[in-house]
Amino acid sequence: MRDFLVTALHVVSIGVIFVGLVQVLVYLAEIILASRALIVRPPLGESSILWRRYGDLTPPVAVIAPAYNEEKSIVGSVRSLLSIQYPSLEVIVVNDGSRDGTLAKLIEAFGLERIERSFEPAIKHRPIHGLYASPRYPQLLVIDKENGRGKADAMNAGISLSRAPLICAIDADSLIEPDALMRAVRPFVDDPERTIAVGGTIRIANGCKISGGRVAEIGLPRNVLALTQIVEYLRAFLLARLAWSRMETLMIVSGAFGIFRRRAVIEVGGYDPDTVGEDLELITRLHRYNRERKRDYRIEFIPEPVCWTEAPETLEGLGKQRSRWQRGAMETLFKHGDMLFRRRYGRVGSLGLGHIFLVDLIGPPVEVLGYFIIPLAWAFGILAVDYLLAFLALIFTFGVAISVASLVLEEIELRRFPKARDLLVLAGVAILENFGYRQLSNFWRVRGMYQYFRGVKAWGDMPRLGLAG
Amino acid sequence: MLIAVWIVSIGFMLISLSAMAVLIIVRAVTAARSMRQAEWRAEALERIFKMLAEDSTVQLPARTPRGYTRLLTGLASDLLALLRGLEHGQLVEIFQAAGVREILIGDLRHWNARLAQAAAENLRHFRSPESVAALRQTLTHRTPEVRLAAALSLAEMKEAPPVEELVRILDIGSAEQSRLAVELFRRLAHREFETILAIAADRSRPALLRLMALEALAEQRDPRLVAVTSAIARDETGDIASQAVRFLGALGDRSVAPIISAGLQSADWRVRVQAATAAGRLGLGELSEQLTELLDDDAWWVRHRAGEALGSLREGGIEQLRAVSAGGEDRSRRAASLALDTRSVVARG
Repeated sequence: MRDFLVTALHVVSIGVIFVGLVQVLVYLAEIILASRALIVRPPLGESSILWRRYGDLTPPVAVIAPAYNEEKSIVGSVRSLLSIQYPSLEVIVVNDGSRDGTLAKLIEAFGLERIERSFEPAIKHRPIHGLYASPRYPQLLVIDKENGRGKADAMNAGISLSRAPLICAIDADSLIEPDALMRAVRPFVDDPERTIAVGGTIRIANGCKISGGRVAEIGLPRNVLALTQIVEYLRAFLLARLAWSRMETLMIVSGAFGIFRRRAVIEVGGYDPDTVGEDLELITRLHRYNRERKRDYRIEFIPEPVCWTEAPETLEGLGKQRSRWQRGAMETLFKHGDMLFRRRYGRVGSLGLGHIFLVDLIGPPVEVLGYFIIPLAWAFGILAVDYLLAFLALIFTFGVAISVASLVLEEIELRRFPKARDLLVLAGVAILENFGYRQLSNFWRVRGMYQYFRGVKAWGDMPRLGLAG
Repeated sequence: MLIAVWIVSIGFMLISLSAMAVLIIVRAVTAARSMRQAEWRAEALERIFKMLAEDSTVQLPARTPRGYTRLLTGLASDLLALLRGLEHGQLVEIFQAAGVREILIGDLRHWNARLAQAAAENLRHFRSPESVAALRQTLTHRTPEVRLAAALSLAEMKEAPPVEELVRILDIGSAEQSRLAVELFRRLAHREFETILAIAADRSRPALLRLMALEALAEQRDPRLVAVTSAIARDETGDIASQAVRFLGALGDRSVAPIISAGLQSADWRVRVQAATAAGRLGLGELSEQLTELLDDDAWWVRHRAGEALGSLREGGIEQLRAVSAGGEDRSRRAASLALDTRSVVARG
């Protein structure tokens, strides 16, 4: 019996270490690819140069901002959206059946009146109760619709009502930098035939000074959870998305800030309201649709355009968010599982979905298993010390190295943090997050998997303080 | 093997931490320099604005801070883009005296493509044989964005090579698909209108190149465009035909009515959409019957644009919409009603 137990522990330990090693190799590859992508990325320049260069050539964009129970911040958010610098802009706010005074606040603040507007019934969505506009703000349209249990349905209504060739998905409570659209739309000008979607960077606004609906001064939050998420977002955007974009296998354009060719989204049927990871699922479906038709297309990530978002500052809020993201990844993976490693889908099926399979499906439970099995087995003398060291290397030392490497890239290429002290604090966080936060994050992801298998569909409320309000 | 993983991880972590430590130290050390640069820029701006206000002469502050050249070119780029006329000329002289032109010519060969592109864009302010020669050399730069920026500057300086040569060097419409080529054609249209028109008419050329050439010319409203654009609209299909029909609407020549009428009957919905829009823009009342029929088109965009077009016709359009909204088929009745409602909102606005 003991022999069997020892053999089993060895096998499990080797499995845990193997999975960890593959993940680390993927991250190391991401560092190399992201570094190269940052160095050779097309020149963009200052805002004034962008206007001179692209001002007459940019296609109209409809910014679609779904809002649900956001009466405290909605007016400030909409004012912020209306101040975006872009030659031809339409702002569509979708009141997704809010139970509070979101619509009333909008009507009062912007002098809205009920209107009729013909629209292309291209995508299914819940019924629309009314459309509102104002001669004072001709670029603003407010859609009041029945609640659709999530952002996807609200986005679909916005897409149906929009008339611009490009749509920009954002969260109503996020803040887009004034020139972010101008920067993000570049691939649609430089490669108009092939580009169907572009994502920008999401950064954490907690701790920043907000004035007039804009981030006036970049700063760091005092809340440890928010601080940790700053490093986490840098790793996700500057390493992962840049690297996968470089390989033409970008699998997600964040729902908080992404630009899409409207026709391409309509072709695939819009956002899927039956998933909580609608942004990941849409991009996967765009890949599937275009690969199956052997089309030459581009889905790109650009690091410069920035959208600021509020990060949860409580364990409960963050845990719910992470479990939901995990469920979203699982839903997409199982829905499009037939693409996995199929030649027809090329590197999207092998590398793109393969990455999700490894990092989102296999990685978290295996790592959590390792936390229990390997130290215990070593303590009882069943495992040799080199197993323990290898496990510690994969979790902690490589973890620190990869997090710090993302900060190094940020400082060399983007330099958004104004003070040396900010960098010092973030470097400390990049080290410490591997001791506690990482484990917690994996626990939330495993909980998300459990919820997925139990059929949980709820989004869950996330308490927000509001950025623009 | 497992021990090696541990050792490699320690090594990698130490490399990352060391790099970060160096960057933090560099940042701390350069903070003071950044402050001095900001002070220099503020003083330079003050002197320049004083000069512009008093129409006097000015000298930029002495070049004390490190990073002076970037500061100088950045200031030149910002200010020269803002001003026109005499003041622009004065500024060019100031920056030329400070050596900006030479810095920019040097930047064209910089390894960093962003700097090379900015230099290519800003050299247009410093017209001289040296600038032109350097920009012409840059037309073969390794980075497409830099090549295109050089071509645009040369075009603005009226020193660009012939259009056909530029199309060949930049491979516009094939390897180079940027819409910035439209801007390039616009800048060259005064000089080589006929050549660009011939490119648009040449069916052996890539469709994208032809579309960009046509778009650049369409704004000119030159009567020579009508015949070529009409031929493209008549003979081509798909996207190129729909764009040609769109440009016909922009040219303002009502003699193209037969082409628009044919477009309204096209099998391609994109062509029908553009034909309806063009009919409205040109006020082609004689096509109101056809437009009314399109209120029942299968494609929503065609119904929508047909309704808009009828609403914008001076005579008969509104009456047609009212008649259909009162008693037409379901789909056309709704399209007509919405077109009338939209008109009333616009009118109130």
